[in-house]
Amino acid sequence: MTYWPFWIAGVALFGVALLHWLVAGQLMSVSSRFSGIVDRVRGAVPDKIEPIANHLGFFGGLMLGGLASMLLAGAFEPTMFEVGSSFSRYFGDDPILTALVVTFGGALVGFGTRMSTGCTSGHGLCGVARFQPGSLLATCTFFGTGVLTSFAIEAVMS
Amino acid sequence: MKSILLPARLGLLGVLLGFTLSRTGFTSWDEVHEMFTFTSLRMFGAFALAVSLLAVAFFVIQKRSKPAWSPRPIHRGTLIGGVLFGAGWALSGGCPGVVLTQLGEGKLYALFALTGIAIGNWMYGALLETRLGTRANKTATAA
Repeated sequence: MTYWPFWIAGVALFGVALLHWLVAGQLMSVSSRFSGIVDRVRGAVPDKIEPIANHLGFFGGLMLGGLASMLLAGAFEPTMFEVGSSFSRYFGDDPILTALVVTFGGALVGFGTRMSTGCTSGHGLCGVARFQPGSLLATCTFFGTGVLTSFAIEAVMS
Repeated sequence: MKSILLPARLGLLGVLLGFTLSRTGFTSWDEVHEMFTFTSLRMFGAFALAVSLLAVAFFVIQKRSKPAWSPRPIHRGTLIGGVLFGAGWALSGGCPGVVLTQLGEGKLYALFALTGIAIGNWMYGALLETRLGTRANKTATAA
């Protein structure tokens, strides 16, 4: 699939984030929806303001969006362990190692986004655009650490 | 009626975001790695453009309608949480919204990332959130 050039991608991301406010009356943030569902499942503090149907509706939409993109590109071919050619170059094709690396990475994402109270959408897009100090620090940090980790993967695993 | 319409509206917004994430390359481990290693600046450029346009739009909205947007201050979890998230993003290739889009794309390895995200979120929520006092302000506009 050919990806959009930066200016179409940027305008599209801007458009979705703005529409989220105009249509739903909420600033976009995905990790807080994860927290809403996880809290509900573990029987912690019920989220009275945001019904779980909102989270599930949004998450279902994300999946449908990904499906539509691949179907329209004629590229929908479900795979289980094929993460990417660069990933395979660093970590090999062993399914168990792939599962471990991706699960561990996911756990860091889940822990870290909840700890910093935001992710790429809540902090990175909507928080930085409002010049919020927490979002500016979190976004610089997670992009910076992403860069360092990726260079470390290249240096150690090549 | 309103309670039915909002999930439907959010579903439509989810479709738009999922489609956009897929076409920008944020759902590809290789593209994310190229971004983080500066092999390609395309996605950094997209992100910077989106934030710049949003800054103008949010400025106008704030001036005109003064919405009750929650502040996002720096707290004890901001820095360390950001470090962990960034490392995890580089390893798994996905941030929270991306993982669900990957599943829709048929990239089923995202099930592992999704499981990891749920475990990590659960662990922090159960073990440290109250102790560190970093709970997000849960209002309709804060996220």
